[in-house]
Amino acid sequence: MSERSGESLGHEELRDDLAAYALGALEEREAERLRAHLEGCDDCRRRLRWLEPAVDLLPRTVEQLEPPARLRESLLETVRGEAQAAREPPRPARESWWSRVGVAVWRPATAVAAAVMLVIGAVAGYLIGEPNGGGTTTLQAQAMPNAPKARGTLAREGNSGILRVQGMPTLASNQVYEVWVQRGGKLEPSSLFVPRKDRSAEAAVPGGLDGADAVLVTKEPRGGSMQPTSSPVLSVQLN
Amino acid sequence: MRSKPDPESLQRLADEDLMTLVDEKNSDAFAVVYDRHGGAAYSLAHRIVGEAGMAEDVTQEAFLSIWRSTARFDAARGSVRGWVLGIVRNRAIDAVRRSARPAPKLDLDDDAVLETQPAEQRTDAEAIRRETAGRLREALGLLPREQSQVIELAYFGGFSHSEIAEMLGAPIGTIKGRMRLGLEKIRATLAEGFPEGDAPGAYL
Repeated sequence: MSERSGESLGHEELRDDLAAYALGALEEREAERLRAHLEGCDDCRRRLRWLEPAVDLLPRTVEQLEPPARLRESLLETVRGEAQAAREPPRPARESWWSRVGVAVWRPATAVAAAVMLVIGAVAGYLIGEPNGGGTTTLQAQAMPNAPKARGTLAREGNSGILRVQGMPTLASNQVYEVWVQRGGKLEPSSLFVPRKDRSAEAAVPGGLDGADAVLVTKEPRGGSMQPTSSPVLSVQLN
Repeated sequence: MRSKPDPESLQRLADEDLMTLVDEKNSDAFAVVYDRHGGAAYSLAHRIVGEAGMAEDVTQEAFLSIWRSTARFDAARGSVRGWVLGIVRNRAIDAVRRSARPAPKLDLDDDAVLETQPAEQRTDAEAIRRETAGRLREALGLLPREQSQVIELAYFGGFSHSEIAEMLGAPIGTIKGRMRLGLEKIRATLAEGFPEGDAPGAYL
């Protein structure tokens, strides 16, 4: 290929880096520097694209072996199972979690109960701003298997509290998170919230904590539910 | 919902179209992708980790990540085969690093590659794959040893240029230069039509 003359020494050095970069052999710091250079350098981008087929050829030079048949079988078994699960709503799993912990879902007698569902901005803002009476206990939330990265704390003050969460799984556009108070095998709906872009949120638990066993969070359809329709992603044990 | 292509017609689809179906959780399309690239993927994993059990685990992990869309195929950035093998390569190198033992075949000797037993030849596609590999390997063998060596240590060994420099007792600049000269030579040979009349599109 033709070599262009008159390029700066830095550019020349970076040209040597391109091959190492294509081979995955640069240190991360150098790779960063080169990526920044590539942003503004058409010439280097073209060279990199030109080199890439040479790297793509390398895996094809290895001695070709036949993978064991059980690898195909086990992969396809997993994949077919997951394809099946994706087609069916995961109803049995939902029900099993709640029945496993022995919770009979609390059903409100009237629609008035919906009034206890409060969107965070309103009440959380008020509670967060409230002077600390000194009786605050901070409890750690536990992530559930369906949301291993979720974490949070419940700052409890007597009968109410503030739930602060991070790492919440993404919601669909028609979903919200709903907070529940569990008491003696019954669940009462509390507040609703939608996390910020960084997946964190604060939600008020405006009351009902006296004598309760746990605070739970589930994904629910927008507007909230009177009983949970999915397994919890977080739980805070109160005792 | 549009009608599902039957397994026969899936066989005739291009890789890129199969990947669209895989994204829609079509397990039959996934099976075809595996049948096309699983052999090359397993062979690459075996070359890097040097052991059948770990190669199997790596291949399985890589294909599951593809199925679960944790890895996303972008047609603008290359072929499905190149993409799959890139995922396998990264996972295989991670696996070697995690297992505290040194990976075999990183002795600086080409003969090690030849020690692995070739599989029984079962299909035409496999025969072609094996024959192509043989010819490509020969072509790679035409590079000056100092160039093919640094390329292999980087690509199959997952070593950085500074690690390779230390291993070979040569300055980093020299190592980078050898990588560049070697890759440029392979690339130039590819552009000329290589090897022996294989159109680059045929297997790449």
